[in-house]
Amino acid sequence: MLRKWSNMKQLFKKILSKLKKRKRVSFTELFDHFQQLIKENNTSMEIISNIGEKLSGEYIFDKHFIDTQTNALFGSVYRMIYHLESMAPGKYTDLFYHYKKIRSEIEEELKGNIIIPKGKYVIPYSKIKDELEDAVGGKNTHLGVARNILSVNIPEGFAITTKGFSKIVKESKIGQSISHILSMWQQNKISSEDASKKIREIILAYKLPRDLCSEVINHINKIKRKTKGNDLFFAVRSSCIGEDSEHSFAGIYKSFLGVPAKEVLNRYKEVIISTYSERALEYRKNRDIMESEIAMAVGCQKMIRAQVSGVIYTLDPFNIQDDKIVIAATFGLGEELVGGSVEADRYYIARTPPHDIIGMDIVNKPYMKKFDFNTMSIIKGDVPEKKRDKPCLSLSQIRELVRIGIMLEKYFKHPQDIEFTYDEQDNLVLLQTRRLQIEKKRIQMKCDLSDLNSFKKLLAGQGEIVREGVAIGKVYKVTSSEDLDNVPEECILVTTSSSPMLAKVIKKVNGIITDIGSPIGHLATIAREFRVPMIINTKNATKILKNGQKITLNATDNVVYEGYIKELCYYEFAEEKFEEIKEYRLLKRIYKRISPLNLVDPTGDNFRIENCKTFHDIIRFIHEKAVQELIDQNYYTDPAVSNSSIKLKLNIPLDLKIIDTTRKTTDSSSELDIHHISSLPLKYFLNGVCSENVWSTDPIGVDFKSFMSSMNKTFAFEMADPRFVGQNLAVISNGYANISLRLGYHFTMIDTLACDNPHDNYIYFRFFGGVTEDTKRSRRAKLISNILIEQDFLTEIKGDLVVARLKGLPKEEILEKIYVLGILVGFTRQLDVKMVDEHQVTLYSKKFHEILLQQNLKQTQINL
Amino acid sequence: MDNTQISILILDDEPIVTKRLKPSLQKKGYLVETFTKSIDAINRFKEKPFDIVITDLKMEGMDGMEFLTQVKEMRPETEVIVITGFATMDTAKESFQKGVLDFLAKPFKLSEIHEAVAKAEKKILDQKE
Repeated sequence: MLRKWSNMKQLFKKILSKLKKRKRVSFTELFDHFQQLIKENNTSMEIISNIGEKLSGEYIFDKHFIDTQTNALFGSVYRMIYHLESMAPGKYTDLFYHYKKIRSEIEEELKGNIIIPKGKYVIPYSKIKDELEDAVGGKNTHLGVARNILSVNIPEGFAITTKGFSKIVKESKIGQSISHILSMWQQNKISSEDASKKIREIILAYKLPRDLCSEVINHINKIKRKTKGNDLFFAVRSSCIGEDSEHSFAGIYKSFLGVPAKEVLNRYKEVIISTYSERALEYRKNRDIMESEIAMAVGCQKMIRAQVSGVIYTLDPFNIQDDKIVIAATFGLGEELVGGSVEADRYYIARTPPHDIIGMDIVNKPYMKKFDFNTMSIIKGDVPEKKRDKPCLSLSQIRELVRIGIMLEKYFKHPQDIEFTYDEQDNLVLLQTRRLQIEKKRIQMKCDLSDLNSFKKLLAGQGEIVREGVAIGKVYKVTSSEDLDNVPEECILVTTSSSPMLAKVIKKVNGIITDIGSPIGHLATIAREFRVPMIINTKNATKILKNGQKITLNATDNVVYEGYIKELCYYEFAEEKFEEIKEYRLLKRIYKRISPLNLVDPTGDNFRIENCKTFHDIIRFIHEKAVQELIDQNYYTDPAVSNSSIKLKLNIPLDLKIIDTTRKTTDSSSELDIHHISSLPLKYFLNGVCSENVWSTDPIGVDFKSFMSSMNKTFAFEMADPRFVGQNLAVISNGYANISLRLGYHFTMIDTLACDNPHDNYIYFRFFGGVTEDTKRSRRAKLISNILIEQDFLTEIKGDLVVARLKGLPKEEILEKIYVLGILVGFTRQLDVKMVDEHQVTLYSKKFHEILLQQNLKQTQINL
Repeated sequence: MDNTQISILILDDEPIVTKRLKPSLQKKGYLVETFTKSIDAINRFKEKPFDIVITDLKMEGMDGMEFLTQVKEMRPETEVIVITGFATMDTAKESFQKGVLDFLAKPFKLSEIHEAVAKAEKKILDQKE
């Protein structure tokens, strides 16, 4: 006990000496740094949203743009750290380290070196998305996207990245010999056959890098542990850069089936060797593909015990005009199905919803190919007699395949050539999806756009493009959350606002059109991730478009046509996809390192420097801490400055003090009138709080249990953090406000910016606590959360904590939302006491609506 | 193809720009050729006059300003649209003095280049009448 106490004492001493050492910053200096910091904060966020906007596909940008924007961001974030460091010397120095780490990763990307998450050579499929294509090749990327974005089942496995290939073929001691052979061959001094043979010998004799081998073995072992002792075999497949996209390379590179775990590395080497097969060399030479462009990644997938396998062409390439999907399937493995050595059933399905089955061609299937796990080879087996003449796919399986086929085509913006299998448990497993090779001529025949003007334009040039692309479908209007539960597949969603609630149906819909919305809000981000064509701010789409109406959304040219114009879709197929352009992928990779926000909740355990993974995290962290530093400094450590805030004159008993960062000195003797507040957001908020019938003054009875609970709570709170006992406080500048309120033992924080550029604007709202016991407090939190969701906030709720965010709206709309928040804060102030049962949540939700209706928003605007 | 089809030459040393502009303008019905080297572009222009030229300013070798000067000297009726990532008042001024019709700072929206091209097309057709 005694020892513990002396340890504690030492700890206190340590902390005290640290505090003493810290340089004291004068309040004026503090203010100055804070103002600069907010300025840099806005600049950084502007750059991030600027970059995000360029990912819509609507813009033409180049490498120069990427370079200048990232450099500007480096500077701005660095200066933010500097200003925070100046406000609280020595307290946040670690930020520099995390900043440097993220910055050097981005710089590597800019130099053209792809950063591979965790490790050097291997990425599991669970971590692969489209921006990693340069590291894992087309085939692996497509599978990763199908799994991680579209939730399609794929085999377990991993990719050995192009870094392995570069290490072996370019950087190792054999690299020079290989490039020498290649240059001899390019000068026609040796034949393709000789070149291929020589390279093969060199690679065969080469010992694979030790770290590559151990990474591969680690990942195999991970899969082994999951399979729990069952036989484990792999398919080892080539996944070359550019393979499956503009050039088909079909069958040029090697793939192996039924590879036992211990053979995977040898087969990997074989695939690498096949990069230089005679055929591959010739193929590339004939198509002017430079040898330096070639990089081979390899996919290792756990073998599936196939019951039924097949291929889907989402557009019949031989009869494009018929506009149908073809599925060919047979029992067992599908490996030789395309070659025609095994009989297969064929199913023809209409491409237009509801996807009627047009025809079936069921054949006699006496044999099937299967993998013999004993001899480790593919053998021909008999199909049981009674099954031979039966269709190998059920109707529900056909439906499932069509749904997945259309989904993949929609995402990759091109008809797909898909390989699938059904495993022993009848689960669908996607083995491969790639661009269907269609002769350009055939597509062009189908794309006569001269009739385009004969289609009626319902909307033209009215909106803002969030995500490019063409989509056809029936209009489905969403006005309530119930409508959202019944969204039909492949419709075009038409709504008043771009509410984050819509994100949950994104996979079902073909396109989105809204009356108003934010190009950088949550839904916009999700639409880009899922590549769903989307236009916002059309003003009146919900009025013009009718439920069930057939329309074509051309979100590339910002037009909505009446009727289905399939030619436009076909035209899109023929175009190069901007997502596949190198610079676009680079920008997307960089965006991933700057934009995602992991530090969402400042009260959460993970809100710490070491969890800053992106620049946005760092920016968010600094912003939060800067405001805290300002508040703490002002009230608890520096008595000299406690007078520099102003008290506000209000018609309700809200004791609110204001620190106006635009003023150098403040006259603390007088009270400030609401009309003289320089910050618009604070003005709107207070107008909301003070509006009629909102601030209930009824005395509220608290039962004994609640009272006791509040007693405990208050103590705990006060002990935990001195700020909670403190003042109601607002830190403001013209378009900015940070409002902290402690009303009836709950804590509300609003941080908001409302300026002329919608991209910079945001509202961050946080609420927790209360006087009553947990359930009642949670009910109030639920009520608040319901109201915020209806107001289009991205809302998270955990017990009695509600965190809500909104961004990218024009100033007027942000201010309107803040006004509503004012009403909400006033209205729910003491409500936890009244939340005796769940029914109260609905009841008070309704009451809130009534109050909102009563308050004429426009009236308030005039008052200001 | 009828002979009234407007022809466009695009010159930008970053392939992403030409790659994206070409299909988007073709879809609008224009005849489009693209170049990433100014020397190839000027040689082609000597062979075949284009109605509209879209060019970047800063490039290796002959820069865009010199290229457009030569274009305007050879064929004054060709309308030139400048696209640049280094937009300054001076370069804009100089471009307009040389008879450039429009000046777009990169990055720009596809709709903006469509508008600029439509403006050029209208001017060309008006002059033909």
